[in-house]
Amino acid sequence: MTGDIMTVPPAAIFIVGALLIPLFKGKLRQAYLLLIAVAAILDVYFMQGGVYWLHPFMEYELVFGRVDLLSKCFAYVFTIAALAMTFYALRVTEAGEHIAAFLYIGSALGVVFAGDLITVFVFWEVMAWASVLLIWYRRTKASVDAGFRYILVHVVGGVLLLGGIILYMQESGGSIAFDAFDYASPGAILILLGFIINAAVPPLHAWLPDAYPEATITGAVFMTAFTTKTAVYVLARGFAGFTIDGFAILMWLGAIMAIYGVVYAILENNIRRLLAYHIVSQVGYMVCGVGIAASAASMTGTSIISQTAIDGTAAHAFCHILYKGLLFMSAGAIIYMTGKSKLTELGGLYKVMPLTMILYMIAAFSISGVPLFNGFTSKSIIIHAAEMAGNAPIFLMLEIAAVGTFLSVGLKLPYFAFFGKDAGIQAKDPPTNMLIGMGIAAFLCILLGVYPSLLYTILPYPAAIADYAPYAAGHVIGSLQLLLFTYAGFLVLKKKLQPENTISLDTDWFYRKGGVIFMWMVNNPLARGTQWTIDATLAVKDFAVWFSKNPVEALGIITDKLCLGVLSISEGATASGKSAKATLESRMRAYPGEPVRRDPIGVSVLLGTIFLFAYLVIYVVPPHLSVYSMIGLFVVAVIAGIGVRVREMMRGVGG
Amino acid sequence: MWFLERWLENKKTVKKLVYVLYASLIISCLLGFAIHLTPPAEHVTHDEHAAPAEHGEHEEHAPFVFEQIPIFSAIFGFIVCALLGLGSKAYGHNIVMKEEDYYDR
Repeated sequence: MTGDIMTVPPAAIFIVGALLIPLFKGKLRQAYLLLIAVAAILDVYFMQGGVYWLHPFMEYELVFGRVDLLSKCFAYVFTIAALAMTFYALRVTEAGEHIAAFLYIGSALGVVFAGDLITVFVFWEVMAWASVLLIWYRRTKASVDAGFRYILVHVVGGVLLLGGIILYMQESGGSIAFDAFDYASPGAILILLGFIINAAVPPLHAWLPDAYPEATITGAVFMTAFTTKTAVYVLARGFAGFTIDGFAILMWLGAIMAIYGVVYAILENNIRRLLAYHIVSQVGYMVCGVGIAASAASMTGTSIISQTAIDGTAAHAFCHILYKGLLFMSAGAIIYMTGKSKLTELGGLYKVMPLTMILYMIAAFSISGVPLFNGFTSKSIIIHAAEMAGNAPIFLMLEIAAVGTFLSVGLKLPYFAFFGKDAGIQAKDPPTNMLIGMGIAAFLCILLGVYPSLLYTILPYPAAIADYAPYAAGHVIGSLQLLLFTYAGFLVLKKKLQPENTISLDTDWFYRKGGVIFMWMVNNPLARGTQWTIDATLAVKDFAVWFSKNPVEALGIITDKLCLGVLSISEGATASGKSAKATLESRMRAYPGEPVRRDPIGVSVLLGTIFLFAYLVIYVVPPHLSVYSMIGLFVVAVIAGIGVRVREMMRGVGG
Repeated sequence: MWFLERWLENKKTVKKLVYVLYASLIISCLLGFAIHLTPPAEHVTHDEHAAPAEHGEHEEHAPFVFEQIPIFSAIFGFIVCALLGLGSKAYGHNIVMKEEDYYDR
């Protein structure tokens, strides 16, 4: 339909655009940033389906443009979110932060349109390294530390992914195509592990609630959209038919994840960390959707269920990016304007930040699945797919997570931040640019809630959900009952659910405490071991230097020391022993003394004779003796020598 | 937002709000019964929650038995809210909740 318009890879728009940011300043830069974001949306809109932008690399062919409904759906929301978030971030003066954000967005789009695993891997890594900068730009100790933990986890994920890709290339006979992985080969499992680290699937999720609350105000907003949703995209693309011996592992992981996130959110005091746990929970729905598709794919004649589940996953990712971005923008606005991020320190903000409160509540109603907001129209598709598959446990787990979501995001956070006890905070609504960014997201949250068909037509399998009506009376009333009675439960339990000034240990405990133990191991046993080898080597060297100054005298001193020891053990302290000791000490002080004896000829003749005799003995005797008897003879000779010397010392002729 | 402030600071209006909540709780339950009592034929095509009672494993809309209860969502929401709230706090207090400087010590 739009054949004449030439498009470029959207990733390139952001990545090249990022590099030119330093050329602009002030208002011009703001205009430029918005221009890039708008250009990317139009570019995605005009992209045609198909496979193009091929690039030869070694003996492979890299695919930068695999364009179909699935990739386009994600690209739409990525670029739209990028526009709203860029508005929100316009006041950031640091060029580097904008560059990091654009590289991050660009590489996420790169993954979405990648048709081969090598391209996926490269953009995957760029995404990790660009996003860690968004944490580090906060420039606090907590953010530097959290950033290092974040990047370490993602490096591990990247290595797993690369290892998986290489194994997969072996298994598939050199193919690097990024298509569905159908069975659990070692390569596919490693790739899956790399993907689910980015999707924050417990127990590999702790990087997310650890790092996001420490990122910059605007950086955290960008981060909510891209890392986890890119992971959802690659899971939907590659693992929608993946089971381990018929066991749809992603379905169960996703459902557990959805509940796990809400449990921790109930305990959380930091507003952005609370919302971060809800990313884990919401991404759980999407992972579960992929899993439902996989579980249904193994039955026959149920492709409609699989397609509905994938539609639900894509729709929920779309809506999630909008409302979660808005939630983080609102939380960021609170932190930006009040300097406080803990529920225990907030309260009564509706008086001073009313617009923020309204925008927050739009997002909170969306994530909670209140009718007329977008979460209602997307979350329900996944739950509907669980119903179609007849899977009651999954259905109930997802409903439990829905209750928990409304409880924390829709009730607890707004109650204790915007209402509740007035903390008397002086603040006002954030600057206009931030409000515009929030307004765009809020508008879309309501638009897609009221007109879900706008979203449903761009889903990967529009035909599968053509008959699906989210606003069926039974569904609306069921949802209202669920939400209203959750509200009633909250009012009953309000005192019990009071936020507390604590942190909650999560699986990052293992590497944070493990890291401490590791460093102790390095600093103590290992460092001491190293030092000991150095000391021992130096001691050997010192002895060799000392010994070589006058070997004959040195040997005499060593022998005498040995004999003195034997004497003191056998006889105790005696007068002769004492004088022998005094003589030895004076010899040691005088060492090396006069290395050359006055009668050199006599001594050398003697030594020569001794050596010749020893040689004769060694030459003649050994053939008739075993090694052990030789050693025995040697030991007997040494003991005899020591005995003779000790007797001399006893008689007082020592030295 | 002065009007909202004056409104919410007034104890009387807060009390009225609570009555509104009670009323909506009851209405939502009544609507649930109303939907349930309506002849299923009208809903079978577009209403998966209150779909007819018979269900087979491979039926396209396979509602679960518990969904036949008209106020299932209400009961479920209230009980799960209580269990989640109390359960999470118990888990937190006994196992994972620590002082804020836990990792710095």
